[in-house]
Amino acid sequence: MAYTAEISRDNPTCFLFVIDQSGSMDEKVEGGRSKAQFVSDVLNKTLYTLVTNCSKADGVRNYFDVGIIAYGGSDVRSGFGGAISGNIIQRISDISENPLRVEDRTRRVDDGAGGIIDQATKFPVWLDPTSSGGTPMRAALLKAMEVAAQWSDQHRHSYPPTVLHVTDGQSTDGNPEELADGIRQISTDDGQVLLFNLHVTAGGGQEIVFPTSESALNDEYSRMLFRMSSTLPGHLAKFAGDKGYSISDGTRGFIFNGDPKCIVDFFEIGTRPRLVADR
Amino acid sequence: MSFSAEISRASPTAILFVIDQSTSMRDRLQSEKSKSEFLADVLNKTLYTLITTCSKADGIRDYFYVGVVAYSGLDARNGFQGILANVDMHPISRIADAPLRIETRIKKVVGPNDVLVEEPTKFPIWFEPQNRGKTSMCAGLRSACSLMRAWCSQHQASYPPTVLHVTDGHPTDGNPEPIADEIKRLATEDGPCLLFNLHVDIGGAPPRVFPNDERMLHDRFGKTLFRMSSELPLHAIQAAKKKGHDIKSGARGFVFNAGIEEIVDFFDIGTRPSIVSDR
Repeated sequence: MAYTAEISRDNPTCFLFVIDQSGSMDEKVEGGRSKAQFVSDVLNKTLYTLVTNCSKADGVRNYFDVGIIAYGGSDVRSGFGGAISGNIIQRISDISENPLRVEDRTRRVDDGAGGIIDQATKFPVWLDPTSSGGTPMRAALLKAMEVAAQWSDQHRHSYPPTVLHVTDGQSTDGNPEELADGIRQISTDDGQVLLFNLHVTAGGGQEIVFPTSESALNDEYSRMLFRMSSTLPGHLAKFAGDKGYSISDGTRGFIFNGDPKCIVDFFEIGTRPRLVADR
Repeated sequence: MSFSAEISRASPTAILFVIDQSTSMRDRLQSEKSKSEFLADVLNKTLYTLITTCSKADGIRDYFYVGVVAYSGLDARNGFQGILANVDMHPISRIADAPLRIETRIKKVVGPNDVLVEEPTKFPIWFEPQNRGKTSMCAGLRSACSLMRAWCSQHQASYPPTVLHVTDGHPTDGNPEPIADEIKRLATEDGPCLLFNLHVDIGGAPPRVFPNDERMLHDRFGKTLFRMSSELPLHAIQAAKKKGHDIKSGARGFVFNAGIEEIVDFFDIGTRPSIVSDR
């Protein structure tokens, strides 16, 4: 059965984030932040959660290899900076040691007497928001395909890579569908690469979350993104169901017109393979 | 115009809390307290705040009549204990006189250099957390309905009652929607009874705060709770905006998947009918 490999240091899995940084990502969403800012915030938080999940008494265990492919303008590049900007794929322990910076932020905590209070907290930043130029989605997915293929060749026994693609618009360098098909055909012994697509909006438009058929979608672009998306494997479908989404057989890892709350859920659901070994 | 009656001693308003005490309220929130413990803290603090609001040089003025309906198992009951358990709706001065006990809590406060420090604080307890049995929501709302029917008939000139219903799950004793509709049809000359619903969650799923469209909820029961909730009146909209919430036209007094921050905000915003006279 596919998607059952235990994730361990000997058999890590891979998360590849493919992030649209085209000009339109500077549109503002709720709360006055741009789509690009919101997406990078959620991605930074997701990376921190992955690091935390791998942190044991003896240090950060390399359960995950993670890459960020950022695209916008004429450029496809690693989203990491500094010492980890070379190869796209980096080990989680190296990521843990190389944020661009650590910001001081606040979070709300129980004050112990029926109220809440702001508590200072550290927020590591790996990806800064930028947004300019066109949307070279083909080039980005081609890069993702190369990276996922190489990683899968080197990790035959591993839970296959998960590619989380976030975009807000149409490709400006041609039809990306065949490349998405190519990505999903890559596999390890444990199953095919998972490609999940998140289409974000600055508001307006009915959001469509984890649809089961193309008929739920009313334009050709959203139908194409649907076809580009993998079916959610059982454990992820169950997790999405636990979060209150209605899930049935064949539900795709795809959100159209996602608002900020959907973005958070998408990242959380997409980065939830079972960590069972080595605990 | 509705919701414009001045709240005074001659024309008080009613606030009724309806609290789910089913077994699942034992689940831990992100703050590590159980849902029922945290809710009890917030309710006790809210009662204390109401008392403070009504405290003038000449004593505590009875601007508010307050009751608590608790439900679980097969039925609903007065959520107060001790001498407050015998009557359902109490003038606020009687509540001020009858806490079960005063606890000393260790409260986090902002100390020098914005560092959080802990200090002891007096914390009166009127309401005790409980969590046992099924989710007899219909029984709870039916009890609220009959209490508010009696109250409205006796206070026709008053600002209409506010019912704050807090739950974490699905009713086990039928469909609560017709009962909610009945509560919302109760009225004084100043407008219909307000029913606000708070759905609490252990965290993970993003909260939906004061939605204005049923389609913003993916969960079937979330949609039901949305329809059960009154639109926010102007004073509540203002209070919510002051807390930084983006309130759209037609926003309901409803929060889905509330965490600790939203729970505190909900109680604060829901218990804010404006006191304008008698000052």
